[in-house]
This record gives sequence, structure tokens and C-alpha cells, in this order.
Amino acid sequence: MSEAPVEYDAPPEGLARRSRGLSLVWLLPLIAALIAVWLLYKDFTQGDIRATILFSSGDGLVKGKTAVKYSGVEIGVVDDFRLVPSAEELGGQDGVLAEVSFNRSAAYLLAKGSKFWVVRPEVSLTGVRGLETLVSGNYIAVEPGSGAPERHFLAVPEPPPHVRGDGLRVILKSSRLASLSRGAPVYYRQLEVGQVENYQLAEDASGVEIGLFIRREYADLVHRGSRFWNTSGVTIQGGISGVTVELESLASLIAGGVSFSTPEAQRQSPLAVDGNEFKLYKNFAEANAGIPITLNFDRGVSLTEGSTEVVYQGITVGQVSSAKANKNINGMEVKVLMDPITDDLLSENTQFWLAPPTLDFTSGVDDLLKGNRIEVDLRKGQRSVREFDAHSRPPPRDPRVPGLHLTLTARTTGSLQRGASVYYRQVEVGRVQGMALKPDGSDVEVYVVIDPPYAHLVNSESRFWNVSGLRASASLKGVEVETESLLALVRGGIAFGSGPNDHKNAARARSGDDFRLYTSREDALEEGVNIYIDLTGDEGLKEGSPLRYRGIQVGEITRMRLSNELDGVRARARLYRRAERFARSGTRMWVVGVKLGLDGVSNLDTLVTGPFLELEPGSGDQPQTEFVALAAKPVPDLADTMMMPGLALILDAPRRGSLKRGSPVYYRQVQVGQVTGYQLGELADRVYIYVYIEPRYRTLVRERSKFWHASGVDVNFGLITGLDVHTESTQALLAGGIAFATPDNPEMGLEVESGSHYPLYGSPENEWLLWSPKIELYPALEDSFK
Amino acid sequence: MKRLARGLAEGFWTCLGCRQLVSVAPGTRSCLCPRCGARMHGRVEASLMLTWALIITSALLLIPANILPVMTVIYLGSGDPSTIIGGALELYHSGLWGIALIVFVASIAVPVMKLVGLVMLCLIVQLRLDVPPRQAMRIYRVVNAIGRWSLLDLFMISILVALVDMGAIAEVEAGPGSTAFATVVLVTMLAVRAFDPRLIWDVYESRFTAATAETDKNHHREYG
Repeated sequence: MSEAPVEYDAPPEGLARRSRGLSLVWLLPLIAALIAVWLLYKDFTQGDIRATILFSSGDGLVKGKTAVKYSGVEIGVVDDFRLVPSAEELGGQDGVLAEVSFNRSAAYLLAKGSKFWVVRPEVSLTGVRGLETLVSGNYIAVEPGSGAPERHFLAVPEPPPHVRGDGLRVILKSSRLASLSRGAPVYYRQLEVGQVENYQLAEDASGVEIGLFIRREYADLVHRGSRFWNTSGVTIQGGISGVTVELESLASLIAGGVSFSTPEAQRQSPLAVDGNEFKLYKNFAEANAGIPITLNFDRGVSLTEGSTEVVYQGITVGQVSSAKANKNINGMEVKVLMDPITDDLLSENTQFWLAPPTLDFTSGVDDLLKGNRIEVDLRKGQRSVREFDAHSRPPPRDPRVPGLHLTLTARTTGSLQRGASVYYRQVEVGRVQGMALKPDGSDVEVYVVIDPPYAHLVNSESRFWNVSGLRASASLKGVEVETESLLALVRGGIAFGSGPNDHKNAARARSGDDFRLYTSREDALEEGVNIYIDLTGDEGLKEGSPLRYRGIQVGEITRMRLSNELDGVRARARLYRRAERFARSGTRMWVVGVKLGLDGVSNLDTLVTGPFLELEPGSGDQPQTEFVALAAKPVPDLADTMMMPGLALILDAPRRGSLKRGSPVYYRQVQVGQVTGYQLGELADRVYIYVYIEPRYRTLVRERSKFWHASGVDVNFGLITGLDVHTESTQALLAGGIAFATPDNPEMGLEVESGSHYPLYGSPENEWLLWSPKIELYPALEDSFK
Repeated sequence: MKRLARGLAEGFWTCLGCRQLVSVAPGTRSCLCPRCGARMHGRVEASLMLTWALIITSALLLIPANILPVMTVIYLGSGDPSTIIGGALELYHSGLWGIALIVFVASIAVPVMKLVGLVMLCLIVQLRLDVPPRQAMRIYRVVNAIGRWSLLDLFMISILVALVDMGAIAEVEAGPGSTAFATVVLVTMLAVRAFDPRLIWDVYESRFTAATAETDKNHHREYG
């Protein structure tokens, strides 16, 4: 099928457009050109800077990889390497020249004096550094210099102070490196404030110079007077009290370390500046006890270097650093480091001496182990002295010790030692400082210090006695052993207490007072009066034999010596307190020993304890210290009995019969008195029998009383009466006796005075026995005569 | 050679929008398509100039695209910004020569080939070179076909940036070079689109007519 072709209208003709000149499309290449040009310009002006670094070895450097870093930022990269044979800068060794392209921003780092080095991972005892290089590979670090721009560098083999940034750099001089290593920490109060940067041998190889870096924020801790000491390793100090281990830190134990501090006295010294030199001390003690002094001993002394201490009143103020023989080998030269605080106390008045350890169970075993120590008496003076002549033994006294200083005088000191304690009620209140003989050699002076809190316990009446050793006493009661303390047993000791004459207002003792040192407590507290007694020497008395009065010990014999004429023994006895009144005229004493007799045994205990001296107080009021001991109890004579309150009578008898001293006198078979003695009459025609009637019964004796012998047995025998045995008493039967009777009231007569005479009949008349007068008796009186 | 009929010579234009043949009066510069209303020209207007401008733009943009880093692989905190060629080299040094080849072809060879091809086409048209038109058309078709594959590199970068984000361990950042490179690809594709391949035939036709006219002249000189 054919269709008629479609007739199209011819489109209207468009108007011809004028050319608009350059098409807008050319803006695009223009912009692109601008971008490219700008980039090229930037690349040209701010592109990389090429520089070369000469390394002695290219170990760990990678082409195109190894970066140059500054402050942790990558500022360049190694483009290429070239080998440089026999490089002049490396002293003829082959080197590796690295070509590095640097960021243009790092241009200022490329200056004269800049240092380049390779940072490698470093694992050391103080830590791990450069750990990032394990991942990123080694890199080249740079420390900027300050000079003209430079494009060719020589790498340094070791990092310069690898702690970038600013701080204080000081140099320590030491004779040895002493296990310090680079990076070893520097401590201030155990806080790490810096580290050891480097070290090198000194120019003259005489020592080591150690460079320290102190971080800026801590730089002002370092003064010119600061002291540095090595804290490497461990300090172990041991004693009985335990072991102390000192160590600054674990890191310094292994890698070494340095600590520093500024002594109080040096706080005002100027701050240290870069390059200051300090001495490195061996240890803290040395750094701290910075004053070296020399002590000259005139003989060999046993000292331990580094441990023997110098002590001032119990405070350690120094330490022996070396001890060696002096040049002439006749003594020792001891170097001591003293605490700086003693600086102005080391003068011509200062004294040093060697103090042996004192035995002490509380702290002293430690002292014993430590051995000797040096004691010092620091005193201000005119000039500063650094060399001293030391004494090998302590001075006996040191008045500077606080407390009450007393001088005790004794004949001997027993086992007293320097340092022995002074006890008051077994509490230690002071110490013995020393002892010295008096110049004339007569006595020993013991110098004692009582601690201040106890000084008031000593007054002018106090008594001091030696409590050294043991005291044993034996008696029938047993054996007594006494010691003040175990310590006093070994080291001796002194005790004191109130004296016998103590009273409330006794004056307080003052320093310098003199006291006697008694040998025992009894001596001290019972001291009364010394008396001297002449004895024949055969009584069996010995030193320590008691003096007794009525069974109570009132003193003892302290010494017995032959008299000058060798005709007897002269004893010194001491009367205890409150027995001083025996030292008077009229006092008599006699020896009491065992007495065996028909009428009994007495004083049997003296068999064991030995005889003693019995005293009888005298009535005189003259003091007397010289006595003669009687062999036996003195017989009271008439004069004695006349003085007594009872009635003393004299009976005239033809014979003594069996009467003796002590024979009883009976009234109605009741003993009312006794025979006190007898003697021949003046004309020897009779015997005077002295009779003493006790005061209570004196009224029984009247003018007409009759006395007769009551001794023996009266036997009457009759066929009708039988046997009549009559005796006054059994005792009278043996020892004899006297009986008397008084007539009935009207005829009895008056009472009689002492001294009256009566005849003594042989036997009574029957009539006498029947008398029974009524007589009122006196009340019983204290009879002082027994 | 047998000459084919040419619409332009017969007074016909093709609408590039709906491929409608439209007869136009001679001397007309442009008109509207009666069917779809698109603006019509006998030949694409200022095609050669546009192509040249875009070629120059992309050539200039190749400079930053190759100088500036395309991407930065930040691995464990330290990154190394790499340019296109640096990345390819790096891949090649790591032994991944296959990927290196792909990257090289897609990112370097293809844009350069495109530019070279376009420059050749423009020169053929501009200088009326004696190049067989079929070869020129082959060049055109190749340039047109491979244009889009240059974007491979950019796709890779964008995927990497999106995927590799492990904080401090590894990270990929696109650099300014990738922007420049993307612009290069875009501009070259526009340049290819701006080139009117009919110009090749116009050159051929004109050369042919000139040649026949020459032969006619010679013919007239011989036989005239």
C-alpha cells in the first residue's frame, strides 16, 4: 500500500547569530592551568630541601622509608644512599652518605651545629626507649643547631642528650663510674628529676666525668652547695636489731642512680648553672656528713671503716671513712666524715676519744657487736680545727651531759664500770661517767650523772652505795643472796636512797656535790658511829660478828686488826642507826658464847653463828668510841645494885657456901631476888654476900628480917616423925639460895635502905617459918636490871 | 571508491535528540526539531573548540592529579601519602604486580590514552590529515569505550576509605590528588562527548571532493 509522501513544512529559518568571540568553555583550561601553575610554584618554592648526612654505618636505614624526625614529627625521608669510601670526616673509614629530602618547614633545622643520629630501639635496664622504631623502623633524629644554614652533615654516633628540651646540665666528678649507665635516673627525694646523659674519662684520666641532665622544672633544686651521691645498688646494714635494706629504686639497683639533696646550710647558696661541677659521693652518709676531719690516735685502735660511728651524747654525728697507720707507724690516722651541723663546733676545744662498748643487756649486745665507737665532746672555740689528737680512753667526766653531776668517793669501786647504771628503787636514773684515782692515790672518785627528771631525788642526805656483784649472807635461817639486777652483777651499779638522817627539808643536791660511796646498802643506810674495841683475840669473834643488845643487832664488827703492840686485837665496829647512844662512856660490852653449866645451857645458837658482843648501855653522857671488851658478862657490884630501884642488901656470912651470882632469894619459897655477888670482907673475917631484892618485894625486908641459907637439903629423921626432907627448891638444892622471913607486924620494924647489913644464918629457926606478916607489895616496876 | 549519499549535502539534518531527519533550507545555522523540539544543527556547534578546551583542561589537571597524594594509608599511626604512580610502584615492589598493572592501566594508561586519542582525532579534523576515516572512527570508538574505566581507581579509593577505618591501627584517607584525578576523568569524558565524529567524514568528504575536482581539472586539461 502506498501512501502519499508526507509533506513537511519547512521549518522557519532561524536568525543567524553573531559570533560571541571566545567561547566560555576556555575558562576550564584556564582554571586548570592556574591550579597546575600554582602547584608547580608551590612545589618549587616549598618543595623538599635536599641535604646529605654522612653516617659511619647505614645499619637499619631503608631507602625511601627511613624518616628524619624532629620532636616526633616526620620532617624528611632518606631518598638514597651512597657509599663514601675513606671519608675524611670519619677518619678514613668508609661511610654511608644518606641523601635526605627535608620538608621546607624544617629548613631552620638544617643549620651549622645540628646533630643527626639514628634512633634504634634500645632495651636497657632503665627501660625501653625508641619502642616506636620497632614498628616504624629506625629513624634519624635531629637536634637543631644554631648557625649558618648547612646542607652537609656528619651524623653523631651517639645521641646527644637525648632528652630534648631544656634543663640543667651539670657534671659530676667521681673517681669511678660506679655502675652508672647512661639513662640512669637522678633522684631528688626519690623522685626522678633527670638522668645521666653521658660519661667520659676526664682529660687526665684521673677520674670520670658524668654528665647529668636535670629537667627544667626541677633545675632550681640544684644549688652550688648541693651534694650528689651514688644510690646504685643496695645498702644493707645489719645488727642485732635487724637488717635494714636501703635502696632508692629497683631501677637504680640495677642501672645505678644518682641522688642529690641540698643540706640545710646550703639552701641559700646560688643556683647551679649549666656546666657546674660537683663531686659524686660514694653514699648518702658520705655526702651528708661532709666535713672530713682527721683524728690521730697514739696507739692502734680497732675501728671499722664505714661503720664505726662518732657519737656525741648518744647522737651519731659522724662516721669513720678510713683508718690506717700513720707515717711513723706509732699510731693511727683515722679519717672521719662529720655531719655538717657540727661545722662550727669543731674547734680547738673539741675532744675525741675512743669509747669501748659497754656491756648492756638491753641495747648493749648490739653495741658489743658494733665494736668500738668514737665519742666526741663538741665545743665552740676560737678557730675551726680539722685535725685532732684523739684519746684512746674516755675522759672520766663530761660535765656537759645534762643532769646532776655528782662525785662519789670510795676506797674501791668493786666491779663498777664506765656506763654502769645508777638506780633509785631499782629504776635506772643515771649513769656512771667515769672513774679516776685521786691524785694522791688514796681514794677513787666516781663521776655520776643523774638524769634531769630524777635530779630532785638526790638531796644532801642521800646515801650512795655500790650494788655491784652479789651479796650473800648466811645464818641459821638460811642463805640469802641479793643482787640489784643482773646487769649490775656484770657491769656494776650504784644505788642511792634516803640516808638515815633524812628529813623533809634536806637541801637539794647541786651539781658538783661530793658524796661517799658505801660498799653496801647496810653500810650506807645503817651507818652510825664507828667504835673501836680492844679484844684479847681468843673470843672467836670475827669481822661481821654482830653487836647485840637484848638480842637485837645494833652493830657489827667491820674490821679486826692486831694492835700495834701485838698484845691483842683491835676491832672496829659500826653501830647502826639509833644505836649511836651506845657510844658513850659507861657502856660495857662482853663476849657472849656458848655457856654450858649445871644450871642450863645458854646461847646455843652461837655454836653456829659464832660468838657476839653483848652491849650494855652506859649512863654517861660523854661520847666515847674506845672500848675494852670484857671476857664475860660483868658482875654488877654493889655500886651497881645500889643504883637500882630494888633493894640491895649485904649479908654477912661466915662462908660463901654454894652461893653464887644469880642464886635465888626466896620469901615463902617465892623468888623475890637474887644474889648479885660476893666478896670477902675488908678484914677477911667474913664473906659479904650481895643480895638484890626486886623493887616490888622490897617492902618485905624489914629491920628484923632474918636471912638464912636455903641451900642443900634439910633432912630430919625421927622414929615417930619419920623422914622429913625439906628443901627450898630443886634449883636451890643445886645452886644454893637464900631465904628470908619477916616477923609479924608489930615486931617487923621499918623498911630498910639499900646497903643494909644482915647476918646470914646457916639454917632457919622453926619460929621464923611460922611468921606470917601482912605486907602490902609495891606494884611491879620495870626492872632495868636483868 | 563508491561515494555514499550525504544528508548534509542533500539539505537534511538529523535531530540528535530523536534521530528525525529534517530538511533544512540551505544557509540555516540552527533550527528546532519539529518532532521533539530540540535545537538542531547540521554539525555539533563548535565541537572542535570545545574538545580542545576540555583536552587542555584535563591535561593540565593531570599534573596535580599525579603530584598530589591520591590517598594516605595510615598504618599504626604513621602514614605515607602516596601518589597514583607511587601507589602502583609500591604495589609492584610488594610483588602484587597484577593489581599494580590494573591500577597502572586504569589510572595512568587509560587517561593518557584517552587524551592522546582525542588529540589525534582533533588534529585529524583540524589539519585535514590524510588518515583513513575508518581508522579515525576506530580511535574514536575506543576512546569512547574506555573512558569510564578510569574511574576504577576512584571506586577503589572510596571503598577503601569506607572500609578501612580501624582507628589507630589502620586508616585510609583520600588525598587532594584523587579529586584532581576524578576531574580529569570527568573532563575527558566530556571531551569525548563534545567531539562530533561526523567531522571526520566531513574532512574525508571535502578531501575527496577536492581530489575529484583535481582529477576533473586534470581531465579537462588533458581532454578539455
